[in-house]
Amino acid sequence: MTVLWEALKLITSGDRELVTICMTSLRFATTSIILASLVGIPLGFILKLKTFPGRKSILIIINSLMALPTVVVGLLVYSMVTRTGPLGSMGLLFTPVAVIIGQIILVLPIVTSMVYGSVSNMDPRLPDTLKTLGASGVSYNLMLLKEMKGPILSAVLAGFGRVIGEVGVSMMLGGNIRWYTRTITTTISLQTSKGEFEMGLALGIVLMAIAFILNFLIHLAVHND
Amino acid sequence: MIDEIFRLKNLKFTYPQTEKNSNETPVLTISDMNIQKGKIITFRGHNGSGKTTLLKILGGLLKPDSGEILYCGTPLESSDQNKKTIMVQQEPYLFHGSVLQNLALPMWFQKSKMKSGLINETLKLVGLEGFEKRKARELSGGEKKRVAIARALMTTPQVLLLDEPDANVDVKTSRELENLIVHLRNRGMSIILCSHNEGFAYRTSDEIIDLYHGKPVDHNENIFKGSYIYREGLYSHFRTDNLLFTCPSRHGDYTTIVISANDVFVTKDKINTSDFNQLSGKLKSIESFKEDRYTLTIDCGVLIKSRITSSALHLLNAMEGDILSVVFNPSAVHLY
Repeated sequence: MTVLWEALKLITSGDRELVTICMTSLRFATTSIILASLVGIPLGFILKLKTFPGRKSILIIINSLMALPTVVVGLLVYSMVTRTGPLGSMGLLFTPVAVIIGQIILVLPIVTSMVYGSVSNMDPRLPDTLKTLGASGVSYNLMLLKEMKGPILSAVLAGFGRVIGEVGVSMMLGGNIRWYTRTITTTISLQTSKGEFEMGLALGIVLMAIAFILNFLIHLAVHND
Repeated sequence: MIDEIFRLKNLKFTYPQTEKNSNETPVLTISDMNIQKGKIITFRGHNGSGKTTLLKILGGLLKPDSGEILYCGTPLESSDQNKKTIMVQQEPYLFHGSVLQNLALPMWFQKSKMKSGLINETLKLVGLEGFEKRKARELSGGEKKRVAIARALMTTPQVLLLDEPDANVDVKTSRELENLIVHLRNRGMSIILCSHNEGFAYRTSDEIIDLYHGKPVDHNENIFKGSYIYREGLYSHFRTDNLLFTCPSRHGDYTTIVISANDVFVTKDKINTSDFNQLSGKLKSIESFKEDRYTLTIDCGVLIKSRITSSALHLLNAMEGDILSVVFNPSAVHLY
């Protein structure tokens, strides 16, 4: 109980390090999900609505990548950005950029696949309604997005939940550098290994709060749709 | 001046998933069909007869496998028909948001300027005055249909395609939709619809086209518009422009009578009969129907069809131009 009490005190006191760690996690996760969504949402639509050679293969690869372990993504990007890797000269290893790249690779298949699934279940009357009313090009695509905002938001929030809670990519590519690349999950891992549970538990509570808010938002988005 | 809105020639359509099976019958096979401008045309037929598919083709939502479709004399692909023809689905899809937003969107799609008061005028026309701020998806089935029609009317289309407008609505709403459709036709709009409801089809339509397994077939009915004159007793009257029919007495406001061609008997000599409807006219045509059946068309001031067997035709021994007596019982006159 003492540990829990100390953890709650850390949260309520607004501990500077705790706030920085939370903000770093949120910054990484938000950036990676925005960038992944910019690619994943149109890709999900294209894979469902357009026919082109290799479409099925891309779908199989994307669906397989959904189960990709975070440490494998970390290892893959590590091998690219390490000093001896092809992108080694860019000096990306143990920087926020490396973490964000890893998180994008991690979450892109999830967003794409979920958007693809949503488009597959789209009300078949919607495209016909848009066409008959004269929507085309930009107006057509914007309306598809607007009408499907619920499932698309669910996909984005699910992806956000995945990156905010991952530890493998952040640890391997960020290096868990204090005040720089240390995130909620890497801190929990470090503090637990040191036997200092207060900070770890406090961050765990924050992580749970974020998960709760995400679920609430998903529920709200789906309910409103 | 071209008085046809659509002309279909040698049209064939098969849904893509059936292509691999070479024995599969096309959903639609239409050798020649002419759809008149400014009228209400109804496609009628069983489930899967191709009614909705045909509407979608006319609306530019599906492309036929082969054949030609002319829109006001111009091939469909090269005309801007898609801006002038709007289809309203059986269960219309309404966008998330208010009724007002639903009505405003087509103007944005077609980059048209919206006249002030147009939304209110259109809502008033469909009987939904004051519904602007209501959530479109929370309306009743009949209200949703009317919102969908109002939305379609926003860009003043020349042709309105309605897929079963009377489906899943109560009698009152169905009658209101009938009045709306007739009102739109009277304003010069061409309306093409499909319906399972015989009464709806008979009352609203200027022409009914029956589809059977994707092919237009001759329908077996004489349909006349006019006014019903109710009388106490067994029989009343129905007046068309130039004829007075005797029909069963029934309370109600009827605008259409339907007489099956099978119930119309023809003779060369005038016969004394207890039947109350006796007309005479010139035999205009004798057409073979199917399996030993013929359709006779007699000009009695209005064209009346009678369907008889080949042996009856042989006994009648009539030729085109002969004067024939046409007889049918009041109970053969169905009121709608």
